[in-house]
Amino acid sequence: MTTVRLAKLLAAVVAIIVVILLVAPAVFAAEVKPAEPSEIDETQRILVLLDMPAPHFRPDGNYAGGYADPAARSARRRTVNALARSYGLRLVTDWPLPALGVDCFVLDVPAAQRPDEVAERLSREPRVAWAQPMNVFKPQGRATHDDALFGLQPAAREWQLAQLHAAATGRGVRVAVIDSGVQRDHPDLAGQVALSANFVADHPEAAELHGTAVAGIVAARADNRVGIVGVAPQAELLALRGCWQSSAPDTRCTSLSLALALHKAIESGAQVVNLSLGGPADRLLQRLIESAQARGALVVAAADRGQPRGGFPADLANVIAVVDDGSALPTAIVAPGTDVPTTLPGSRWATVTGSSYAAAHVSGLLALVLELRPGIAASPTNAADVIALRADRRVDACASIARAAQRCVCDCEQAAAAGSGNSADSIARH
Amino acid sequence: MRRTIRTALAMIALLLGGTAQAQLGATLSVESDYRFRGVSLSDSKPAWRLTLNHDFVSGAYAGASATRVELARDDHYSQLVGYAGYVTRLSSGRSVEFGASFSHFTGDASYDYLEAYAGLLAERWGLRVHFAPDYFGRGVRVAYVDANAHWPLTDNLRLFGHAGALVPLGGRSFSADDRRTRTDLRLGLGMSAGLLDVQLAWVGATRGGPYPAVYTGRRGTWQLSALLSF
Repeated sequence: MTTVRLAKLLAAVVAIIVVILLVAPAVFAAEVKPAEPSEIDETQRILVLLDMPAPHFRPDGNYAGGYADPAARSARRRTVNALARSYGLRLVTDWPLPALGVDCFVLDVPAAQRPDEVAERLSREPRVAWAQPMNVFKPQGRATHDDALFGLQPAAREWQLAQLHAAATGRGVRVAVIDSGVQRDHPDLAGQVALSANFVADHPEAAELHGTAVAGIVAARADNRVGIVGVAPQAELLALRGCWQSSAPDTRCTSLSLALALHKAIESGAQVVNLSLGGPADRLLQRLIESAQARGALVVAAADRGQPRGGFPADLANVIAVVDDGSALPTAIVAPGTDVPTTLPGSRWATVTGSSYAAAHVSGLLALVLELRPGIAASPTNAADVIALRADRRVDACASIARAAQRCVCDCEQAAAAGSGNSADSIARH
Repeated sequence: MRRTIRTALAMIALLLGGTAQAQLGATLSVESDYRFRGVSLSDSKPAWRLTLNHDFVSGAYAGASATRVELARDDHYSQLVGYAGYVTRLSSGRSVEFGASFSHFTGDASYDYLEAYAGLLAERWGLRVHFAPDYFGRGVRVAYVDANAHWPLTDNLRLFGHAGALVPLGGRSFSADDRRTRTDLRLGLGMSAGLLDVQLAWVGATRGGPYPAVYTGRRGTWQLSALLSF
């Protein structure tokens, strides 16, 4: 390329930049400076979802493909800017969710209007796939003590964890913990987190109570002489921060933060997705959960015993709903969740109680099952397909692993002497 | 040509100025060398391109682009490409598509040709097979197979790559040179900032294969391009 040609090209690029500077204000006018966390009222926001065309042929050979197609994205931005002007809303930000084929726009609704009504009206717009209020979710558990603990894990006794680990440790299974921040350098979690990402933009990343506790139950290190043993100590933990600790021990999540974390879990090939939380029905989250399931992920959710079917997302089809052993719910399975010692921020350990932690147990157990039978989630799944249950819907961990391993796992010598055991044949009777 | 540009700009103004259509987009790009399947169609000179694309809710799409080309030294034409296709998502998150494009060269319609294509696409990669029964009007049937991928480095920065093979399948003017399969490669770095996307890439191709003109330019070169979307 001659100097003259290069100069012409650079002049053209400069001309384009000048054009951008001239037209950009109109395009970006709706973008606002993020408010301070204390000023943000998430419940006064809505999500507007626009269909994102699938990537396709373009005549310009330089186009590398993918949903990042700038022309299509600017078209969607024009649409949402027009809608924002028409409805008196303020565009906050947008996030593409290619796994669902939608672009998700966040808009502030003026205090004089009700977000659910605005969302309903917007949903009727032909240009909108759907709109919904920004829902707020809360974990299904609480901390009960602040004492250091040793050897008191319910799973160690009821699930005979040491014997399960002789068969499987969750090696190489990717478990996404969508929760508040995890203390990655906790002595029991150091080296366990394969991927960490923050999807709560307005709240600085931090080690938080609920996420750290759930992560410890799933995958705390084994044989390090401190703390506890995770149910799946060799699983690859994906610590996806979709919730934040508003004031200890209260934790909150929104439709958007959970959606982004779920999308990351799908992109990262998570085989188990742990959702130790609950809230109102949410179409965007439901679509993402179904998308994760369609790609072979097992989704575990903590059930709310105050709701007839455990509340959202535990009430979704093929989501494995779990309650703690202090609760009962016909649609949920029961796992240890009372006075469970686990990891806490500040490199501490303490006991926690709630369905959140029962769900974490089941997510860990699924990692063990998937290590032994990686293809188990290839078809639509419900809890009984993967996990052996007793008559009272309590999880039979030994039978679950024995079924996956096709051999006896727990107390095999005694079982052989008695002529029974947790072999695959005997498990079939559950 | 000026009339063509005026018509295209008028279309953009009409379509963008009215009620916002969710899936209508337009781009204007300039590049240091218009490399089509690895070979320059602008005699190694800078070229511009205007593209319009419309995506329908059904999955159908259609569009057109206009580009300045120079198939032989000082032989300037405008290449107008119209295309239409259909893309549908699979439950795996991937997509399949099929469609056709028609290239018209103002000033010498003997170069005009039709091409059909089918592809399997994902968020970060795509595979496509094209078939042209009369490639650039040279009387040669060809298949072109290409793979594209990109990898995000940050929110605004990405690596991308393209590899393609132009395979002659026969035809009435099937010369020895036409019989050779030509492969091409494009590797680079892309940066997006708002409406602007800038790419720096190395582009190269092997010798041989059917082409509209005897190509004497360099086989490999660096290419700088900027794309503005509306």
